[in-house]
Amino acid sequence: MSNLFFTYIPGTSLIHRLDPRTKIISVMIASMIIFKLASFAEMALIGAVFLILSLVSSIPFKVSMAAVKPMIVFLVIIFLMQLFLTEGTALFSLSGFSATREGLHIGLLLTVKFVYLLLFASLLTATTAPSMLTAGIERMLRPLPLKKAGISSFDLATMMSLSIHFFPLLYEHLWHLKDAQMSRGLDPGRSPFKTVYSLSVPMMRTAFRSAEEVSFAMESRCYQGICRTSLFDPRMQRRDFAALSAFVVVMWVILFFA
Amino acid sequence: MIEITTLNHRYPGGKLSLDSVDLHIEKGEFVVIAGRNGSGKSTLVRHMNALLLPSSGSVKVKGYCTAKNANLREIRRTVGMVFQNPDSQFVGMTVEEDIAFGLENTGTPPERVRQLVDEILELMELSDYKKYTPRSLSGGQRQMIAIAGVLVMEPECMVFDEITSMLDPTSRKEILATIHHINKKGTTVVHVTHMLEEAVGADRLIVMDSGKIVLEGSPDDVFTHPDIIQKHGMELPPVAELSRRLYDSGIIKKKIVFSRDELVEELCRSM
Amino acid sequence: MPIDVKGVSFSYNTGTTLEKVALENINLSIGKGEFILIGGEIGSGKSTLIRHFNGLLKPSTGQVIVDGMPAHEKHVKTKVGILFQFPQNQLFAKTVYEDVAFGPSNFGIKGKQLDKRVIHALQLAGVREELYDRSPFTLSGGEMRLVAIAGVLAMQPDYLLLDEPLSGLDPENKNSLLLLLKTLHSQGISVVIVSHRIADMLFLADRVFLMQDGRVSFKGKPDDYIYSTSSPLPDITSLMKDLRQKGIDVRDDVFSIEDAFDEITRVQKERMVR
Repeated sequence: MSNLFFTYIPGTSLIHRLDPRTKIISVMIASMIIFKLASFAEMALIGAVFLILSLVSSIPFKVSMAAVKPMIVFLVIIFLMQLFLTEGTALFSLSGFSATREGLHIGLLLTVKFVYLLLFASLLTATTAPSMLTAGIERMLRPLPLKKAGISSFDLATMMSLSIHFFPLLYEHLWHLKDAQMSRGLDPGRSPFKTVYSLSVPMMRTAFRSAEEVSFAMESRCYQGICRTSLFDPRMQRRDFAALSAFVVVMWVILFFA
Repeated sequence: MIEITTLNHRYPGGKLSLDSVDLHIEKGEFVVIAGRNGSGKSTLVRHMNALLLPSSGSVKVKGYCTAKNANLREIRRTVGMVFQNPDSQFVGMTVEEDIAFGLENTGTPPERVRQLVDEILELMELSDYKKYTPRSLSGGQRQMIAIAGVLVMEPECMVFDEITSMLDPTSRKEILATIHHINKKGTTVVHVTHMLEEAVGADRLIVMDSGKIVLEGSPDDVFTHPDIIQKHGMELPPVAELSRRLYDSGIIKKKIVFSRDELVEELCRSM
Repeated sequence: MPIDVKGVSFSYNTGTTLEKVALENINLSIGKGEFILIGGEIGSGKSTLIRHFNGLLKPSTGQVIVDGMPAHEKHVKTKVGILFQFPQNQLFAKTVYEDVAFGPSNFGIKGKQLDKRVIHALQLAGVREELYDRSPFTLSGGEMRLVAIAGVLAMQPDYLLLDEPLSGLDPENKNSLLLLLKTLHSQGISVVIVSHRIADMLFLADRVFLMQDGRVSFKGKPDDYIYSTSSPLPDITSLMKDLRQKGIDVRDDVFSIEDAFDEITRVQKERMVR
């Protein structure tokens, strides 16, 4: 796994300084637009928007690519499924399945859409500190009637930041465990069932134990999931409203005029 | 500060892990609780800030009974706790966020949180690391951050649950020095360990086994019962053990000596 | 036949901007029947190094040869067993017995021979017989550790590597583990301990390696180690050094309470005679 995968890259660009909510809302708008688009011309314009934002935020392109790379297998599958399973004018055929011109068109479009989603999301995580991101999400969730479901927006935000925090920890555990079982002769290539079993059972235990330990640690530091404050106190400023309006206008123009 | 009366604790489906424990901890005291793995020492201290509740008996912190839900916040603000494994007690993604966590929970305004966090970072010489992920630091530094995260809430009592057991000797010395320093500033300290040498300099040493307190007194007093200590799975510090053997074979006059310098002196006198 | 490490370098994330050199031109050899300590700070490369001894990691350059075979051959894993930190975390099977049988059965050992190995390993590690058919997850932490140790011993390795074996152990468990290692060593098994606190174990060691920033910064006998290191010495050794300074002519290459006691009584008798 590349370490750049959806990582925060500290910086001082305008985009870095925007309120997390501005960026989250923008990404949500962008995603909706991306899925509405139907022509390659529109796609190219969205690409241009991404490039400009990327330049303004001075996030190296390889950071964004790192978000796409691990998904390539998935993307290829999507593309091939569209290519072969869409009905239309046949281009060529392969062991009974025929690729169609329409399939090629839809497949390409869909793949590009997914790539764009990943790229915009990576721009969000690259320019927003994880804690800011959770603070932003927490603020956005606050007006929702979550209380009725028995949770608070604080709970949700803390859960999010905990899972971001625990993912690498569990990954490290898994790596460690794999070494231990392989030292006892486990051969993942030859016995996949044994591999899954001998890794998943201890992993579950470790995950549960870590969860228990961390909940003790949180409780003893007065965590009750109510009425928290935050070291980071995001405030929407004039530049946020300006940036958000500009973004909405650009997207609207692309959607209706391109 | 903490009053524990005939405390029993039983984990669901398990045997009695605390067996009528009575213990009073005074304000400003430095108490060390030692015992082998599974002796009940960690279970005991988890009662001190209501992470666990008595099966029977009572635990009172500054007069507040831990069994009452309404007292929870006051109790946890009074008694802070640092745990053995630094990795699973970090909640924040960076050092400063983690240290801020407790303050955020008690509803401290953001500017105040910022100020207090920066102060404690400065005090514990961690300022350079404030933007780091705690996991990228050494074991000793990680425990320092965990301590800072509790200390920043200014608890009247701090409980350290085997926080030195995974550290190298140098970091252990540093952490112990920090704990002593915290105690000197007036904070009550309860330190759990399985190394008896960490009790040197404490006010009181308690040895536990099978859920009971088996020895209690000043470290000097407790160390004069090496056979009881051994019977309960503990070991005298190496220097003390050597001095005991030297005394037994008549080479030195003093029954037991803890510090290296003192033993050197004692030997110079008698050889 | 030894473990030979020849010119081994290793980097994580090779070819990316995040490349990190973990080992740099390591040359060392561990003989059969030796008791070795490998010390060094966290991140000094010591854990990376031992993962080369049974082929979990392949060197970027150089080679590791175990008894004449390249370390990455599967068979090497039967010769070189590794007990990782907190080994109780690796248990997974339904019963203690099955868990211990996991290792040898992965190498095709079956039937009577497997049974013999498993029972022998369980006995050697000191697991009580009534636990053999219990689920490992119902045991105490200490018992689980012993099962995990048995799981490695059941492979009957010629080299036993241990990564931070004393971490979190109380004195009793520590002493019984060290005793077990002593026993195994006396049966001709090479023991290699990797730890950031080797002072406690110096009295057991034949040789000591110290790792620093991916290189071996010290190689030698424990006696040489105590003269060349700036890291903490065992309390007992420091005591003997202090005594020497005060003009009491004791040897200071002493690491255990027993040896210190003997040495002090010896010198005291000499003084009495004079």
